[in-house]
Parts: sequence; C-alpha cells; structure tokens
Amino acid sequence: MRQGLSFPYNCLMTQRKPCGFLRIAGKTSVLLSALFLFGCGGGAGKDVSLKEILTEAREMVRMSDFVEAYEILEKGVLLSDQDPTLEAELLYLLGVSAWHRVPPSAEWEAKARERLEELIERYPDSEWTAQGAYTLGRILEIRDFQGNEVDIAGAIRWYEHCIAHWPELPVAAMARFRLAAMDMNAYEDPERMARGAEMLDLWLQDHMDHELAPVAAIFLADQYDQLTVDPAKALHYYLICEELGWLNETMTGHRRWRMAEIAESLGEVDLAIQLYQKIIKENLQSARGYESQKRLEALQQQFPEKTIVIPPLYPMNLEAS
Amino acid sequence: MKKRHFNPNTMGVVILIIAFGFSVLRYRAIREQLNLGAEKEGARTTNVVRVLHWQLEPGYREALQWAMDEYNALPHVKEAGVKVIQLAIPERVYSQFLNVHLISGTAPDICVKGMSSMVGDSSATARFFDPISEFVGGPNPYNQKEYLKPGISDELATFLQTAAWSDTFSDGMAAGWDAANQDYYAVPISSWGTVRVFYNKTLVKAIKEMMRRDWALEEAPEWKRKSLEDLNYLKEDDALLAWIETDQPPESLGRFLLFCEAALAYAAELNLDKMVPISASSYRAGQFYSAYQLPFTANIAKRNNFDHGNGISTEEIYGGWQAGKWSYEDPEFKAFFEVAYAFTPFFPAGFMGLDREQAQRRFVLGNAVFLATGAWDANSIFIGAKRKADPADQFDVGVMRFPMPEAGERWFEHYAGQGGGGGSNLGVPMAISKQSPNKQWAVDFLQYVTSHRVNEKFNSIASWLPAILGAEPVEQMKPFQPELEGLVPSIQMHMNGGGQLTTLLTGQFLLYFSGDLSYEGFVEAVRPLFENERYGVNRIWIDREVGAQDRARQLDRALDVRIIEDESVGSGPLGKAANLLENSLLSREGLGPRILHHTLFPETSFPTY
Repeated sequence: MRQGLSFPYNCLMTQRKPCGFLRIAGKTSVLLSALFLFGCGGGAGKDVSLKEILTEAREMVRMSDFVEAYEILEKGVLLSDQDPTLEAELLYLLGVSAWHRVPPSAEWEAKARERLEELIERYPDSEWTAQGAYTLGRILEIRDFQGNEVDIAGAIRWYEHCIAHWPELPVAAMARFRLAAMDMNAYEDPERMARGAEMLDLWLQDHMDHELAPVAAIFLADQYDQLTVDPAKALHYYLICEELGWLNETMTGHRRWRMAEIAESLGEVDLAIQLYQKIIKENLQSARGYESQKRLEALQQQFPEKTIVIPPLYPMNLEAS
Repeated sequence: MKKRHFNPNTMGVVILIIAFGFSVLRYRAIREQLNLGAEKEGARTTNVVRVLHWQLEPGYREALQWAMDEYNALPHVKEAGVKVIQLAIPERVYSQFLNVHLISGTAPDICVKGMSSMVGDSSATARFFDPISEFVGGPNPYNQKEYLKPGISDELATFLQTAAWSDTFSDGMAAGWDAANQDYYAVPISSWGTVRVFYNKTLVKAIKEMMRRDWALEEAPEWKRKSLEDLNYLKEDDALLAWIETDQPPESLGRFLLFCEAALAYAAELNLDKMVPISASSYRAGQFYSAYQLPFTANIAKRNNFDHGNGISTEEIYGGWQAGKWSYEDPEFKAFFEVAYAFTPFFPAGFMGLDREQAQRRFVLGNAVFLATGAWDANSIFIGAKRKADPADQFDVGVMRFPMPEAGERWFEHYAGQGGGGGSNLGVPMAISKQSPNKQWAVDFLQYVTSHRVNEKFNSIASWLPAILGAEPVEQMKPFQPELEGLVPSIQMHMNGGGQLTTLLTGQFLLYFSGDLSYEGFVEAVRPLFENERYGVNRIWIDREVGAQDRARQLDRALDVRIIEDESVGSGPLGKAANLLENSLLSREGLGPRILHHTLFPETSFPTY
C-alpha cells in the first residue's frame, strides 16, 4: 500500500475494499447526495404547458434575466401546442431574449434574427409580429459588439414594413421615429438632419392627438436645441410639449428652465417670466427654483415697467401640492 | 480469531456523514424558510419580512425597531402572522452581503439601495427589485384619520388622507424614481439633510474672549495682522468690530479664517498641543473642500454646459479643457484652490492619514473648534459632547452653514453663490426584492413607516430628518433641514469620472493642498496628465462613448421589458414604455460624446485607440 494516501484514495489505489461499515457509509453518502440533489432540483420530470413556460419566461424577462428566459423558452420549442398565439409569443420572446442577452455576440444576434423572421413568416397576423418586425429593424440598425456590421438598408426595410402593415398600431409610430432618427442623428450632415426632422414634423402635425406625439415633440425640440441649433424652432417644439403634457415629469423643471433661457435669448420676456414662475410653483425638485427667483429679480430690474410676481420658495412643497 | 483493527479513517467518515447530513437538513430548513419567508414561532407560522440596511448610527436601529414593533403589534398584522425584523449590516461589508444574496436568490424582502455595485445601474435594479408604481398613485392607508396624530391642521390632514402616497414625500418620492426604468423602485424613509459645520460653543466663547482682549493691542497680534494685512482675508470695519464683541461664531469666510488664526494662537498660548481649529480627516477634509467647489466653479461649469442639460457631464468638463474653454488659470478656479488651501493649516498634522471616526472623536473630546459633517452624524456628536465623566469637559455644540465670502472679503468677486439648492435630499431608499415572497406586506410596512405620524416619530427617535411633508423634525435637527435656496448642485466642475486621470489629478490636488506644490507647479504638473494619450482626455472621450452606447443599448432592453411586462405588445397602449422610448430616442444611440466632440472640434476626427 502506498504511504501517505488517505481514504478513499488508499482504497482506490490499492484495489483494497473498504470494510463493511465503510461500504455502508459510502452507499449512504451516495444516497444522501442523490436526495440532496433531488431536493435542490425541486423535482424533475414535471409536465408543463407552453402557457406555463411563457409565464415563467416572462417573469425572467421582467427581471432582465434574458439568459434564463431563453433557456426556459427553449423547452417550449419542443412542445407543439397548436395555439398560434402562444407559439407566436414564444418566438417573439425567444428573439428578444437572444438579442438582449449580455454579452451580445454574432451567434446570439443570428439566433434572434432567425426566431423573429420565423415569427413573421409563420404568424404574419399575430399581435406579436408587428413588435417582432420592429425589433428586427433595431437589431439591424444597432452596432452591438465589436465587429458587428450594421445593415441600415435592412433596418429601413423592416421599419417601412411596420409602417405599411400596421399603420394604426403604436409600433408604426415607433418605426417612423427610428427612421427619422437615423437622419436626425447624422450630426455631420445638415441636409440629412433637416430631412429627418422634416419627416418627424410631418408625422407630428398629422398625429397631435397620438399617444406618442409628446415623444416626437421632445425629440424635435432637442434636435433644434442641440444639433441644428435653431432656438426659435426648439422653443416652438418645447411649447408643443408643454401643451401636450410632459411624459417624463422628473425632467419637466429642467426643460422649462431651458425654455425660459431660450425665451429670454429670443426676447420673449413674458414667456420667460411665466416659465420661471411655473418652475418655482410646480418644479421645486428640479433645484431650479432659487435660480428662477434670481432670474425674475434680474428681469424685474431690467424691465422696471413690468410687475413681476416672484413666488416664494415653500420650505416643503406642501402648499404647491 | 482474526482481530479487527479500529480504522481511524472510520471516525473521519462518521463525522463527515454527520456533518453532511446536518448541512443538508439545515440547508433545506433555511431554504424553505427563505422561500416561504416564514418561520415557526411557537405553534404557529409567522411570515417574516426582513429589512436590510447599513444605518448603524446611534439611534437609527432603535428607531426602526420601534416602528417595527408598533407595526408588528397592529391587529391585522398580528392576525396575518406577519413579523418585520431588521438586519443591520456594517457599511464596509454591506455591498458584498447584498451582492451575494441577490445573486443567490436569498436577498431580504426589503433592502436599502446603494453601496452595492449590483444595484448601481438600472438593469440590475430592474433585475433584482420590484417596481412599486402600482402602489404610489393611491393614498397611503396609514395616513387615514385613525392613524393621524391629533392636533395637526385640517389642511394637512386632508392633504395626507387624499394625496397619492408619492406626493406625501417632501421630494414627491423622486429619490425612489429610476429614470432609466421609468418606475418607482424605492421608498425613502428619512432625509440625509445637509452637511453643516459643527462648532464647540465653549471654545468659540473662549477664543472670542481672547480676540477681544488682544484686538486693540498697540502691537497687533500675529493672527490679526496675518489675516487683515498679509493674507487680506477681510477688512476691519464696524461690522467686524461688532462681531468681535459677541460670542457668535464666524459666519463669513473672512471671519472664519481670522477666527481659525486666533484659535491657533489660543492653543499655543494655553499649550493645548492636541487642539486644532478644524478637525479633519481624509473624509472630512473632502467635505470641506467640496463645500466650496460649487460656489466657486458654478460659473465655469455653466459656460461649459454645452448641451444645456441639468448637469455637467465628464466629457463636457474634460472636452471643455481640451477645447480651451476653461483652464486652471481661470480666476474662479484659482480662487477655489486658494480657499481650499487656506483651510489646510487649520487641519491636524497628517490629516489625510486620519479616518472619519478619528476626526469625530477629536471634536467630541473638545480638541477642535469645528467639524464638518452631515445630519447623519449629528446625534452621535451631540451625545458625545455631553457624555463626559467630568461635567467640566462637557460642551454645547452649535451648528452653522459653511461660511462663504461676503462683500469686501477676499475672493468675493469670484463667488457665484451659495450651493445646496437641491431640495429634500431624501435617503435610506428601501427597495423590495423581486425574490420576496411577502411583497404585499413589504409594501404595507413601507407605507406604515412613511405615514406622517410614524415617520415623524421614527425620525425623531433616530434624530434624523423626516421624509414626509408636514412631519416636524426634532429641534436639534432643524439646522440640517434641506434648503431650496442655492445654486443647482449638479452644475459644478467636479473632476470625477475621468478614470485614471481623475486619480492622478487627485494626487496633484493633495500635493498642492499639503503645501508640497505651488499653484503654478500644480498647473504645470497636470497639463501633461490631460494630454497623455493613454489615460488623458482623448481616452476619456473613448470611454465616455462606450458608456453612452451601453446606456443607450440598455434603454432598448428596458423598453422591450416594459412592453412585454405591460402587455402593450401589438395593439395595446404603450403607457410607460412611451417614456422609455423618449429616453431611447434622446440617447441618440450613444452618439452624445461624438456630437459634443464634433461641436468643439469640427475639423478633428473623434479619438481612437
């Protein structure tokens, strides 16, 4: 027997059988391990329906755990549920989970595209298909990892497909925004930027009561404020946002501040005054209240003929509430 | 007969099996308990709601325990067999503790967000915590009449009973809002308040007496001559003389520096070797310096806020330097550095090697006149100053704002204004773990602890500031109440976010502050750091672009998750997904740094590795 080895290596190395007690102990350990692993696994072989798989996968997606979601969904592929709605959902979730997993890779992007293309081909009328087509456009448009080749022409095709096939659905507006954004983000090409902004403006004029009209308006306002630098147009679209209602309330105070700055620069003093007053009354959490008061004081000095009311800063916004 | 030898390995195997069996049973028991959130208490099962936090400051745990005991004693809570308990974990290990439990699926029901890198970004927040928007829109049930404290005004009572839960917070629950995920993810239960300067009233009085005694001496004392003539901190005028005649602490920057010079003379006169004017450490000194960063650099920051946003980004700061839009030779920056340097002689020797507790101990032992810290340390300082064996060593603590330059004082012309107009500054944001089996009860407890009566009492026991509108803080905490008057906190020349460059700059700052480098030497030393190809400004552009692209991509993920979660796929209204779409479009696929670079350097291509 080799020296220096302890159980169980000594038994293994010498082919010597352990004593009876050790044999029993060994078997007990194996049994306990099996029970333990069974317990950890929570049981196996349970029959699940596609609906249950989708519910579980949606929960994983909700937790942004796309890796786990994909693994769960793959089980669903083996089931033939015959319910087109569920199968369409399965394909959509598979595509989205494959695309969003981290880190992204060519392999997973290809899987995502494959699933979504299958969805569009097999279930062209499903409610999931419109979203799937839009997602395909995004996949082709975005450079997601080193060496990822974008396919702008392909992305445009899918966006146009969304607009043509589901003109009444929100996804058509989303696709339209993405098409416009492709040009609006071309910061080195003023003509393209103008073309994109014009496209979005046309949509906005026709859809002022659309759920996504405030999104288009703020994107245009930002475009003219940051990229094209046309303060009058920026203010025009900011005012549309003000009229339509701000989607992102936490940013309202900052945006009103910017509007007031632009208004002052354009000589629209009364508008600036109104905006500063609104910030003090409604957007104290923007931390712009104090500076709005200071601006109102400065405007009062600059325009003594005007009677400018400077609202107080409430110690807490109870009164404003 | 063959003799059976006892094999010593047998003992090892037996112990191994017993230990293994015990571990299995214990694992199963804990797993079951955590999965069900339940534990056996006597004959009945209790649903346990665990609250994880790191607030170990004196009084906070006791206050939270009070709230929990009150809640656990409510009839409907008892009837449901629910019990809320707290797990207080030290700050140093909080991050590891929370990370491990989030990943292993054993996180407590309620966790204070922060510290943990796992919950630092919006994707992790969405992954590990539950949004609570469905609850914040309606009134807090514990603000109904039967729970309100007697004697509050009808106006406040009506407001509390009818307002949405989120509206009852002094910041409208902004501290719990996650902009990237477009949802509420946390419930703040206290306010961090503000950072203030604490002062030892006994020492202030004694030093002021010395100042009065020596002020009119024929040969001016050195501290007076130095402050008024050599360093030109302030001018002698009637207001200064009137202040000298009082026991008031110095409330302007010039007077503060004059007073600190006098405090050094006072310590020398009485041979108080350990006494320093300002108790500082690596942590506290930073608080002193940063208090002046905004007031002196806000105007430079405004000039470099190229996207007119509500904050100034790292690429705006460093890109602005590269484009020559600002430099350390700008008078405002120079003034900020001079002010920060002016404090250094009043810190203890080797202050950078001292930690937060050491600085606080020096102050409560009466060996320093001033200490800068936040509301969270106030209670322990007030208690420490009074908890002395010899009553003669006890002293009263005063609280004041950071002194700022007044008209006629040095640096006033570069002073942009008081900082700190950030509003309520609510903190201790409690989020509900996605793994919690007791979500409804977790929400219920958070509603209870943020009801007007309970939040006021809870924070008064903890000696913290309440988070709820109309809730009164205890008297000693009133000086720490957040202010609305002040410049926007996010627009200042913070040099964070520059990676290795920030680290190297900090090293040069410290050399300057410790007197090892002149200001001119500092300016010369940092220039090559900015220009360095490996970690300088060009590298920052690249890093910022990568970060912006990651954030933009994350918005796509969040948007799809929201669409799936809200079941707005296809024909449904987009609802909150519309906000995410707005953010996604405005993120411009992470092109922000490139757009800014193009604006600043239209003829130069974007840096590459």
